[in-house]
Amino acid sequence: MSNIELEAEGHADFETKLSIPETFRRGLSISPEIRKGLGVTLFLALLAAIAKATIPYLTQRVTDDGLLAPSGVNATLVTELVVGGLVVVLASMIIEWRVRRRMVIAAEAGLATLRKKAFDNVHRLSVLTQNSEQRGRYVSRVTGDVDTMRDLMQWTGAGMIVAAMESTVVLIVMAVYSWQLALVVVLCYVPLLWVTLKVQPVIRRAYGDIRARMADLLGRTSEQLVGVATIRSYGVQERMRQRLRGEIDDINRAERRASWIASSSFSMTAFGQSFATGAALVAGTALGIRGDLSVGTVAAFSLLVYMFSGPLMWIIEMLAEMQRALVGWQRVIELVDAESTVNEPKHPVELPHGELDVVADGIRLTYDGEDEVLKGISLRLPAGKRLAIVGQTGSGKTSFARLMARFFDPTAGTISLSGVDVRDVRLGELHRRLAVVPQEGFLFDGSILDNLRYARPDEADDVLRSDATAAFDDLGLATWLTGTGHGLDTPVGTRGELLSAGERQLVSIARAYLTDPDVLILDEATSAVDPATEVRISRALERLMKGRTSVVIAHRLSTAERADLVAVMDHGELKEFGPHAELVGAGGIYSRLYDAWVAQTRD
Amino acid sequence: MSRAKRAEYELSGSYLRKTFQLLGHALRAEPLRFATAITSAGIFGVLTVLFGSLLGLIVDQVVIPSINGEPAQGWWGEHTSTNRDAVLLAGGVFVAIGLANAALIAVRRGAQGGAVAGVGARHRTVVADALASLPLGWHRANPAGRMLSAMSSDSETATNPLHPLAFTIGSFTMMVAAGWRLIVMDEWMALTAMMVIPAVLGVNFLYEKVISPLWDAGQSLRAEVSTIAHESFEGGTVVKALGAEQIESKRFAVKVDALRDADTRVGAVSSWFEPLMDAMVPLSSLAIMIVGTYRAQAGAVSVGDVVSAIYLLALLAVPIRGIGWVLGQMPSALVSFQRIAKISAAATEVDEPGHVSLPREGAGALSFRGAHVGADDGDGNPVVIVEDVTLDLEPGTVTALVGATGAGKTTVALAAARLSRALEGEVVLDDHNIEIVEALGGHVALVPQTAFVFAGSVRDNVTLGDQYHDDEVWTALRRAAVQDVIEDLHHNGDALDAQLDERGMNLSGGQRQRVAIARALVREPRVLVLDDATSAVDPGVEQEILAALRADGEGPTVLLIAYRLASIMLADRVIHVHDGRVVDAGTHAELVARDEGYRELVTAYEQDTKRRDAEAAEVID
Repeated sequence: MSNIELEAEGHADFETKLSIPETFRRGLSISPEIRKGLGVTLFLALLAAIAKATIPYLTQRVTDDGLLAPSGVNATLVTELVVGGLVVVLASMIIEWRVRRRMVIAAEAGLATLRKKAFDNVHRLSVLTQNSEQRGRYVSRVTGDVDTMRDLMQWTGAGMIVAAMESTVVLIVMAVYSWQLALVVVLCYVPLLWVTLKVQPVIRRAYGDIRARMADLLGRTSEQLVGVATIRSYGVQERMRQRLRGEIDDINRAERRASWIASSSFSMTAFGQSFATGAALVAGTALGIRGDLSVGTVAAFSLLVYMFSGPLMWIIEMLAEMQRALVGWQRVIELVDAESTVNEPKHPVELPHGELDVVADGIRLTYDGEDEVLKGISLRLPAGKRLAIVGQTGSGKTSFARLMARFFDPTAGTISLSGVDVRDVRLGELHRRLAVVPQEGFLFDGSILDNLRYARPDEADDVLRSDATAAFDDLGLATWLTGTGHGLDTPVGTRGELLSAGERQLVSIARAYLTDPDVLILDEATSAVDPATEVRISRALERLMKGRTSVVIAHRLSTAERADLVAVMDHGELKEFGPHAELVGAGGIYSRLYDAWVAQTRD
Repeated sequence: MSRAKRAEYELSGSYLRKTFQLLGHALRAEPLRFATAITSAGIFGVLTVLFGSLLGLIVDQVVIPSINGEPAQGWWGEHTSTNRDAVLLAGGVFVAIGLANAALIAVRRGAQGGAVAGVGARHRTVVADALASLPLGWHRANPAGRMLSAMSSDSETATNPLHPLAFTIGSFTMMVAAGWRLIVMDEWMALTAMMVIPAVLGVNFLYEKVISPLWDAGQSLRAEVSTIAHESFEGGTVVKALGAEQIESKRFAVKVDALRDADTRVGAVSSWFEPLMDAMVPLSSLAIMIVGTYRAQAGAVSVGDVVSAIYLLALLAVPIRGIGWVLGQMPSALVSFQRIAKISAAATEVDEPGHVSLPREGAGALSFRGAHVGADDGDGNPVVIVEDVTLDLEPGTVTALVGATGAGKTTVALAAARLSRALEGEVVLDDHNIEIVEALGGHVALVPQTAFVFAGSVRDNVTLGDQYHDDEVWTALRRAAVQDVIEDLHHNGDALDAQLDERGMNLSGGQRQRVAIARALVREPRVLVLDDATSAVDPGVEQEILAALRADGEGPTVLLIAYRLASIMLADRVIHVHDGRVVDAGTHAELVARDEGYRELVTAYEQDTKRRDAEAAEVID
């Protein structure tokens, strides 16, 4: 699989936008490896540039003093100069090889660090920031964006530095020959460079436009991939192809446009080369007539202008590439610097041993700039009891349950476990004492046992193995486990896709069981799975919850019926709270829901 | 997919042959733009030669005489009266050439960029066209990323060698002219200069040999890094819930370090390649100087010839360098090109295989007659998944397919819509083999479990571009119990114009499924196949939809796959599928009475409820 960039340029997820110097400063401090030995590398690059600049000088000596010597061809001098040239060429080659190699090693080390830091920070971000849509973007940042950076540093970065130094060395040589002529050349380039730099943002926008369209095309494609069966069964293949072709044509047009803008900008610098050569000749001749310059100097200048502009043109050509890489770098830095809202406590408090009760006090929650999701929720769940939260999609029940596990923190109010605010508990400890079983059983690539290891990272292999077997036994899943063929060593595939949705759920229940938490947060699955697995899941869940303080986000009233307490939520408010039997008789929302359910299922 | 399109992307023969095939494909795809770019590059080459000689001429005829106080000579002297004018004229000529060069560069690069964009668009179009023509088995066997990367990175990588193509071909004229002049001048100097060609090609060849395996190793590690990141971020909630950040961090770091080492190896090789290539021309120049000096001493050539030879050598190397760039990108481009070709070649499904038009009246009679139903395994080989299916769906009845996961229910459902094939036996609609029924979609509507919803209006999502009156759309939405949701999407104006987000993300899973059902219902199908199409729909609503289907007695024949007992009990007939075979068929009551496997399956809910009640009773005691 290749990296797919789904993210359009200019689509910032975070508020900060770094300037170019800031990007370098911050980027280098994130990846100090890049800076390590940079001084030596730059010095070597300077040597390489100087060596390269002497080659035309040698060529000129061979022509003027060797071949065109007044006394006829001077073979000895030519041989000497050629040997000297050979040394210089080989030396510059070897030095440049070292420069590039050093840069590659430093850059790769730096980029690996950048990748790791970005990856780690994604997991530090609150679940709120990590919503599903964003996750794809984060992946493209730790892969695609870093790779763009790598391309720049590996292929063009070193060459660019050497090229810049070559131009600089030649400029110095020019100034030594004649500062007036050097000034003329520089003045010729100033307006051209100014225009080129002005055009750069236009080019960048044009390429950004292409990226945005590309993201659209990929979005359309993945939509249709989901719908292949539908598309074919309704015979609308051609119409769907037309949709994609439309997007493809748009990209084609945008690319052509960008290419013309970029090419006209580049041709400006090519014009600059001829213009500067002409100007140097005119000005040089004028100075020569006044006796300030020799013929040789004027003639040499045309060559020097050529040597000065060559690398410069190349650098300008690479500017677009560099900007792409810079944007990529900025995006990764943004991700590394994205502030996690859920932080470790400064003064951690330890949770008391044994069973824990859960108290929510005046919980309010507002997602960034949106409507209030939770509007002051207070309730108490005694230790060992089971609470079912019911409510419609959007009622805030999932947000409320997630607050308990500190997937994010409330805007106001506190959630405490046996009197300790969850924000004062070390995250590691909190996750040992409080386990979450999410709706979709998500597994990582590897075996079932590998996945169970997430519950007990430091356990010895054989202990984990026997505990895991016991856990499956306790949960009534021993038969299922045997049926998988390889038992605990059964591979689950990427995202657990080798198992069915229900089976994944079974493994994640076993994983929670192995954590042996005091508090459980369960999100009941909404999708129907096949009946046999369904039975296994509900049986295993019952056993998992036994004797533990549990909070269930209930989608079925039968689940609520079995809980000790029921909380009915509606539009972010806690409308009803109490035992099932009590609420059924209270004549409120819950009793209406219950009556409807009974009427539907028991007739 | 047409045979022509497949032939277009076929690569065969040696590596070099494939290289030419790839380049030929590009030139054929964008002949005009490439021709423009190549012509501009050719003229540019000529002007470059001119620029070189002109510079010498001006120095000799204008600059030197002016500084020495003598009148300008040659053409310059003839056309000007003073040296000042001659100098300005010379400067003006430079500006003119500069402008011409700049224009040529702009045209070359603009046309070239457009041509490459066009070839890229061609690649994408081929992939886009293949999407709905690939067998479902192919889609099952290949991750979605395969198509997406073919659409993005493969299409780009396959065009990478084309960027320097026009410049390289255009400057061939320069090379040929320079080479010819060298041969005329002196065979020994020509031979020396020509050495640069095999040297550059040799270094390139060696480089490819060494770098290709390293590059491949890096790419596969890159894919692994990406996979871990995907998986880990997707399971972000689980990672957080388990406090497993450290484990994930370590898991990722191991691969990142391996990728770093692999990339460093690639970089270490390429870091000698570029400087070595850069050194080729200077090294050849040095060789020419030595050879030229001895040939001049021997009186075979003039000193001016040697000076020219050095200049010509530089021109000789320009297209060679270009070839180097083209070839350097070629290995990865060929791999990408072939990935696109494979997709194109696998796209074997015909849009409309049928030719018999059936009347569209009343519910359809669908039968399987000894059908061995199978699917493509992803490599173009058919595999039987369900054996020997014989069943009759009487017009207007509801039939439920029941079986454990993996029993083959979906394969049967797909066969009813001609999306999987009867490799033996046949599937028959109104006494016609469905293989030959024209516009089958008008007769049989399939609703799969994963609802297909795309960014666009509600109307487009329901009609898929077919002509339906808005009233019909609303009726379908109402029958699919999603009317109120759609009405809420748009408070002012026509709710059918309301835009759905990419993949219908502004709807819940159940709502998306209901839109997909509305899409089937608007077509008033004669056979409706629901493949677990209501799994995310609230059970009550599911009952409502299914019950409404048969309320007026004019509903379609329904084939239903569902897990909920209440839904199964709505069916007139139940077919029990187990391990790729139909084990029993009859009414629910009949099957419960005689089929133990079925009994276990569908009474599982009841048993569980009873067991739980018993456990509760225990606790109270």
